[in-house]
Amino acid sequence: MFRILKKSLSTGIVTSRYPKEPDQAPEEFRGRPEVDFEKCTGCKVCSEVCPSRAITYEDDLKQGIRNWQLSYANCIFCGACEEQCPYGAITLSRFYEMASRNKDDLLVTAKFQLSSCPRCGQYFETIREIRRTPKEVSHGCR
Amino acid sequence: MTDTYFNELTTQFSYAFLDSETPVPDELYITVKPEACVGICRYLYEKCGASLVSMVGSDERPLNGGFRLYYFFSLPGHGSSVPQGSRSFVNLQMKVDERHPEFTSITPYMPAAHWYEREIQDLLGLKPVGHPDPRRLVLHENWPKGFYPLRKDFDYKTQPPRTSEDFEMKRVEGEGVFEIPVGPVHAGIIEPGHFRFSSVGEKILNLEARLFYKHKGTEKLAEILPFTKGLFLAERICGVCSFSHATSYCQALEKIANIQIPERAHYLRTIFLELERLYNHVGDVGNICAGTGLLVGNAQGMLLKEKLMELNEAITGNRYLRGMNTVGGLRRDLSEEKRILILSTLRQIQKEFKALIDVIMFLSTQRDRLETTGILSQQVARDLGVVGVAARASGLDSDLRRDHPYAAYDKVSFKVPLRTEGDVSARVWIRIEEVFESIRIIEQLLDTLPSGDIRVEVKEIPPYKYALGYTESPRGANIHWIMTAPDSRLYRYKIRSASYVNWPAVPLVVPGNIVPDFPLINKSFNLCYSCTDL
Repeated sequence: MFRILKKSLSTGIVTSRYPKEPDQAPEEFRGRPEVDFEKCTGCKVCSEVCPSRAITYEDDLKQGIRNWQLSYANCIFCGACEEQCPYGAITLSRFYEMASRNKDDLLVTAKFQLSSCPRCGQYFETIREIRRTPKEVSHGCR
Repeated sequence: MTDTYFNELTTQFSYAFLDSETPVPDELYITVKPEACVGICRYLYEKCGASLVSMVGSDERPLNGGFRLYYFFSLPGHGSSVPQGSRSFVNLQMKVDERHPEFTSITPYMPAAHWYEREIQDLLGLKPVGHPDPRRLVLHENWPKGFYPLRKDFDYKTQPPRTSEDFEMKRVEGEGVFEIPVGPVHAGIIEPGHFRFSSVGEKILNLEARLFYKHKGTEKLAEILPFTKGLFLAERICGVCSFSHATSYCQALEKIANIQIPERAHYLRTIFLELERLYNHVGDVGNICAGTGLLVGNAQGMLLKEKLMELNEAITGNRYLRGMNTVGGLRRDLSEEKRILILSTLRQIQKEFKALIDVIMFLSTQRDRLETTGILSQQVARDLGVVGVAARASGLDSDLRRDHPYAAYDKVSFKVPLRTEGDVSARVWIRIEEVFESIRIIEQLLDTLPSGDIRVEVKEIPPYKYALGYTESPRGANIHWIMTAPDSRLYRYKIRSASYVNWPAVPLVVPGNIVPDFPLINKSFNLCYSCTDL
C-alpha cells in the first residue's frame, strides 16, 4: 500500500498541455502530404502507386484538361507517393491537425493542360510532363 | 531437414504420394491422394509430434480444374535433443474435385483444424464431411447461402442480398441457470464479439463466444492489388501486430522472388519486431491491472507504453511502426542518433518497468485475482494449436523466433520463458519476462548492427510460386501463405494470425470461474478481433 502511494506521488504530472500548447510531431513523421505544384508535372505516377485511391485523376479529352485530386480523407499516410514521385514534388509533412467538419476542406485539386498527339490529334499527356521527359511525343496511336 | 521426413513418410505412404517439391528451403510440399490425406495428417500429428500451423483452401479451377487444400505442419527436428532452428515445414496438398466439393474432416483427430475447415466451408463452399460442428463461422446469417467470396468467379464488388436466419447457440438448462448475453456492442472501446454466459449465481457453467462480426474481405482484396500495394494492406491487418504482419508478407514474397535482403535490413527488422513486442507487452501488463481494479498499475503501464510508442514515432515516423517495411528490405534507415535514442530509452524503460512490477505483482489482492484464474491446460493448448504467450504459459515450448529463425534471430541469444501453471498469472509473468528478453535482444542487435544497404529493389515477382512468411508477434505466430499470380499480383493470400488460433481456447478456460473474472481472463489472452476476422 505504501509503495503504491509512493509510486503515485513520485510520478507527478505526465500529461502535456496540448492543445493549449502545440505538440510538434518528430521529424520522421508522415503527416499531411504537401504538393509542390512548381515541381509537379501532372504525370499521375502518384495516383498509380496510391494504395487507397486518395490520389485520383480524370482526363477531360474534350477540353484537353487533366483534373488531378488528392483527398486527405482517403489518405493512409503510407508515403508511397512521396517515394515514387519522379520530381520530388510530394512531401509528407509534420502537420497532423486535419479534423474538419467539411469533407471538401480535405481536397486538393489541380488542373493540367493536356497536349494532343501530333498524329491523331487526341489529348494524351500533360504539356508539363512532355517538356520534362525527352522521349518522343507520341502515345502509340499508330 | 525435410529429407529425413520425406524418407520416413515415403516408406509409410508411398502409395498415396503423387508429387513432391521443395520450392523454398525448409518447406516440403507433398501432393497426396485425397483419400489418404487424413491418415497422413494423423501420422504427422500423432507419431511425428507435428503441429498444424495453417490450412488453406484455394480455388485453382482456372489453373488445374479443381480446388486445392493445403495443410501446413511444423515438425520438430529428429533425435532426442532439439537444437535451435531445427524445425521444418511439411505441407500436404490435395485436389478437391469441382463436381464433388467436399473433403474428409480432420477435426475429429486434430481439433486444431476445426475453424480452418469451417472457414473453408463458408468462403469456398467445400464441405468438411464428418466435422463435429459444421455451423457457419466467418459469414453470418445475413450472408446468403451459395455465395462463396473466395471463389475466383465471385467478383469482389458483388453485393449479395441480405438474408436472415436463426443461429443456434449451445444452451445450458436447469434450475437456477441464468443466461447472460454480452455484446457484440461493448462498454469499452473494443471490437465486436458476442459472449453468452450460462451461470449459476456468479459461477460460470458455460461460455459460448461468437466472433466474425466485421468480415472485411482482406484476403479477397489482396487478390486484386499489385504486391506493392498489398503490403500496405498487410500492415493494416491490425494495429498491434502491424510490423509483424508486414514482415510476414515481405518474407513470403522475398522467398518467392528468391531475394536475399541486406544483413542490415534483417537486423533492423528484428529490432522493430522486438520494439513492437515491447510496447504491447508493457501495455498488456498494465492493462491487466484494469481488470483487477488496480488503477495505479493501469496508469503506470499506459505511461510506459506511451513512452515506447513515442520512441517508435521518433525513429520510424509512426507509432505502430508502419511505413518501414517493404518487399526487399526497409524504406528508411536508422541513424546513429536514433540508435543511441533507442538504447537510452530502453535503459530507462527497463528500470521503470522493473519498479512497476515490484509494486503491482506482489500485492496479495492482485495475486488473489490472478493466480489459479482461467487455467488453460497443456493438453487443451496442444489440441487447439494455441500459440504465443498463452502456449508458453501452459507449458508448450514453442516460439518461432527460436524454432524457425527468421530475420536476425539466429544472430542473438535469448531465453524463451516457459511456465506450466496456465493461469492468468502465468500469462502475465511470461510477458514480464519477455519484456526483459526483448530489451536484451535489441541491445545485442544495436551493438552489432552491420553497416551497408537496407534495401534491394524488387520490381516483379514470378507467377504461380508459393511460400510461407512467418513471425512471432506479441500475440504469437502470424503465418502468412502467399501464392503469386501473373503481373506481380497475388493469387491467394492466406493470413493465419495468432489470435485466430487462440480465440477458441478462451471459452474453454472460463467455466468454473466467476463472471467478474472473465474480463481478466480475456485480457490475459488479449486477443485481436481484427486479426481474426479478416
